[in-house]
Amino acid sequence: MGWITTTWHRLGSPRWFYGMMAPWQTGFGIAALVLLAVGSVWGLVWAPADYQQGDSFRIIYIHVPTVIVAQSAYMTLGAAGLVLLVWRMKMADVAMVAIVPFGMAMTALGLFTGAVWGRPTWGTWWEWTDARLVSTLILLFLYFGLHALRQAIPAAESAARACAVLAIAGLVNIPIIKYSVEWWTTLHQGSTFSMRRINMPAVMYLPLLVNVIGMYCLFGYVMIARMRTEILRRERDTSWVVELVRRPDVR
Amino acid sequence: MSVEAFSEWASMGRHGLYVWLAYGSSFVTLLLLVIGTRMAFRRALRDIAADVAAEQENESQ
Amino acid sequence: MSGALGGQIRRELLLLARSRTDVLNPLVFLFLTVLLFALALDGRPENLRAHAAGVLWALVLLTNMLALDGMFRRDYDDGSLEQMFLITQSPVAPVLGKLLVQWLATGALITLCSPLLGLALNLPAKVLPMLFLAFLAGSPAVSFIGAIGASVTVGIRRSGAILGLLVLPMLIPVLIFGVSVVNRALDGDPPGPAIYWLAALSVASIMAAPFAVSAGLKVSLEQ
Repeated sequence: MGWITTTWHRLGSPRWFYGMMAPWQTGFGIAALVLLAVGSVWGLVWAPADYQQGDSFRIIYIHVPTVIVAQSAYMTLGAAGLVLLVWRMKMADVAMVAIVPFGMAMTALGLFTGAVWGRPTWGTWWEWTDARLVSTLILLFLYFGLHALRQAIPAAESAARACAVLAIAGLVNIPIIKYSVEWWTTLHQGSTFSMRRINMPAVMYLPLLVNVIGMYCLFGYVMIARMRTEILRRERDTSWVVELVRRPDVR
Repeated sequence: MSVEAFSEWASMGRHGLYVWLAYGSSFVTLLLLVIGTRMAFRRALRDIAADVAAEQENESQ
Repeated sequence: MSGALGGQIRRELLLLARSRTDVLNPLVFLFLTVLLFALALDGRPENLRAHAAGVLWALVLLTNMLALDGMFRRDYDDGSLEQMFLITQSPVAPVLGKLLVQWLATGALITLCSPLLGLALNLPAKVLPMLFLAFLAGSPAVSFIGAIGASVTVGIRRSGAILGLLVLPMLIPVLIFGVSVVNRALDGDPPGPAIYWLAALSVASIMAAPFAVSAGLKVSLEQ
């Protein structure tokens, strides 16, 4: 079990993270590229059209992975906030800085593709009585809040811990918000549209699975790459970064 | 693959606009995200390298 | 522990008595915005009645944002927050006292005025007790959750808009359950589970918020 604590302590070292994660970054990047390309082409070309929704069903292969990763990114954010406040590990803040823009972009994209899917399927771009749409919109505002708070506090360390407090509060609140929104939409059952529980055959869910894994790889790639960028910025005066930028092969 | 078969596939059974809008926007967003990430990384390296070079020059003078 | 709580409450109440306009201004603002809505909705009774619950809850949330913005400001500026942290690293009891008095000055006051606001928006008299109950059950959650946002933004100079951005998404459950209670009463139905949810949210936030607020204040003081 010793290696777990060793790795945990090493994760707190920016220099170790910067070096160790370089191959992971490349690996996640390539995996994301291959998986997303395979999954999307599979979904667009070979997967059969849905017998009710027709070809607009194919939007699911890109929409659902986007939203899943957008939600996972917020969970990761909350976890990082907890690590920052409990263990005072500065790398957790580096992770938060890296995740927020990614999560914001994915949530916005998920909302947009959801609207584009809704139009041919349910005849409307936006439906206030759909719980998933509304809670995704709220998630976007939670990301906006974190971003705004980070921008508003000039001192980096205070901004980090204030964002951590907020991310944890958001994490605790998300299930309550989701529940309340779902409860609210059941009151409006008359106007609501419900996604029927699709019993998807393998030819339909396999490309979805590929794209979900691909999107997680993209999350990994972007998070590691942005964390390494942030590490360079924060450690720019240390000797190891100075040594690093002097080497001709990193230019 | 014949031209007709391709255009039939591309039309996505009347839903072509929506399907390609969704995939197109996703592709562009993800591409911008990756390019932005890579550029930020390169810029950080370049900025620090320039700083280090400037400092060296100052010391040698 | 209880000494710290009681002392803080006494101190806050004293401050409150000395600055009555700070308490009254948000309330006047609330009445003013209700007036705006009454005019914007044509003043037709049936129109007002149909929208009253949603309008009132939304306006109460916004009014609370105004009041929360200043809640730690004076103590932050004159150093009494810092003193609080000199005595103990995690001043949960005095923070709880501050939050309780903040709720008295906003949530409780609004709750007391809510039947009047309801009448202004043409709610029938039989709905008013349930309106009162809904605000009584829900307003502590608004104050206590809102205070978490106020605690992390107290060091920011122009924090008004940002506070709303941080806090309002987390208050959506209160809005949903609160509006539902009033609308069900309007239809002549019993309030159902929504009123229990409001009370549960308030109890949970009263228990959790003092810890989060003292963590947030600590962060704000270190910058």
